Amino acid sequence: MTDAATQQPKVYVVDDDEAVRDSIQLLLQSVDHVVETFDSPLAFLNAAPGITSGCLVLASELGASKSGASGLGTPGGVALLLQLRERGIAIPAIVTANQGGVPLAVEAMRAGAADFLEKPLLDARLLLAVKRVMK
Amino acid sequence: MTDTLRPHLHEKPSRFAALMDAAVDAIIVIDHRGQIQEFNPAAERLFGYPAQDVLQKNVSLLMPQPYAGEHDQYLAHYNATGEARIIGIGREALARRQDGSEFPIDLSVGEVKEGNARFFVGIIRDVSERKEVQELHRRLAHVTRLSTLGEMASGIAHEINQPLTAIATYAQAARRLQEKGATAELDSVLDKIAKQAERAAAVIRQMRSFVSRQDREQALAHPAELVASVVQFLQTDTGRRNIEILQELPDKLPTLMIDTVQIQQVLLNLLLNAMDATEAAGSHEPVRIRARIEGEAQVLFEVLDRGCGVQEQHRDQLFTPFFTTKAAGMGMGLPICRSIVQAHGGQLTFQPHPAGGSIFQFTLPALVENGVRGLSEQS
Repeated sequence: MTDAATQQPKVYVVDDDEAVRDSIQLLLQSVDHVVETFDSPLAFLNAAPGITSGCLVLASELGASKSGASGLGTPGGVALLLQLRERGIAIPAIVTANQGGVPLAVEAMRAGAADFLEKPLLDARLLLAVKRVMK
Repeated sequence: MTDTLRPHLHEKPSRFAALMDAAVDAIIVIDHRGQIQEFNPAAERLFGYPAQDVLQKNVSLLMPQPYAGEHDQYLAHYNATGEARIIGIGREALARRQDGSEFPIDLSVGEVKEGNARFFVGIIRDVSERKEVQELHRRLAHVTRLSTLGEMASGIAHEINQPLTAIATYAQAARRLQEKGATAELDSVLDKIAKQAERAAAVIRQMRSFVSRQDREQALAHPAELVASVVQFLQTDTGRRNIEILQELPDKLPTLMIDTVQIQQVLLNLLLNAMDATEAAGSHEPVRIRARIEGEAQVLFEVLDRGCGVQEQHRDQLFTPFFTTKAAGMGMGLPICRSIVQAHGGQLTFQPHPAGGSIFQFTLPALVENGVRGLSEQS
């Protein structure tokens, strides 16, 4: 990515499920967002230092990757938020969850999440949340 | 009784009578037309008829329909052709008491020739109790399957919610693409939706086959395929928990004759337990499943984990129903596993792993080369 291409703030989607990742990317692109996807928190952490704008759509359940080569300390969604904060990377984050309900929502908000959405996602809610945090 | 078999057995008639009287199993002798010639005391007790009420009557009176109606034809067929359907083999059948009630029996039939006369001796054992125990095992296994399913519910919900999320999001994206007039992209999005729907359906299918309660016949199964099918079923759990299951089975193992669903259930339980124990110990050591030939005609399966193990004071109660060390456990898993294994003629045992953790072993009878163990001939 060249500097010129990063002018429009991006939406970074982190989800370990390929189909979920792809569908969210397609939905966001359909309303002209620029989207970049990551299949693990680690992959995003590696790219994070260069990121200064945009927002994060982050799955809370990021289990051990099935490839098995994830090693120790693979963070889940909420853990990723804490690590980002530790490193001083302030990017607004929308956390998505399959289950977990209120306790997980509270945990995510405490870790600095800007919003919390349950899956399946409602497009209006997701697009509104993205719009709000991008401002 | 001058016309019956007894006078023909000229040597030691009294011993014959004593044998008939002392036999635990019901013994009934019929002639070539199917008329009852002998009806021992055990038969009287079993069927509720006194001997004098049934002697010289057609034996079909002891059978429910449709067998009663067919019996004369079977006899005539055998008398004419010598083709046996049951003689010398034995089978499970249904019998009918005097009060009209029916009950399952094991029936073996032999032929006796006395000069020109031909007699058939039937030895009958009531197997209602065994049938009830089998039915109980089936029901218990069903309950375990349901409770295991309950324990796996959150994993399954996740498995279904993922494709559902993708479908909903693709559909919403498709609507927006259409509104924008970007219809060229729609085809591929629709394909993706269909693919995700199939993914969700596969999860449901798998779950349904897991809980379905059809009475299954025993069937041939290969140990390696059996193990692989269960490990495949647990793929989500192994992935989510980051605990690998290593299948360490030799190439050549004998075929088994088992109720596949029930034995899968046993393996599933033991592997889930092993993963729970590993997780409880905060470990990611792989769980191992092994199998080997044991003795002459058994296959021994072994599930090993390096987890938290079983505390010494709990070891005696491991197989006691409703004993559990798990917060969400029902305490029925291991007792039912043991009952299933025992119903197959095997044993399920526990021993501590020498390096820490647990080893559960169970045996199953293997198929013997010439013929089939524990199988009764079914027509």
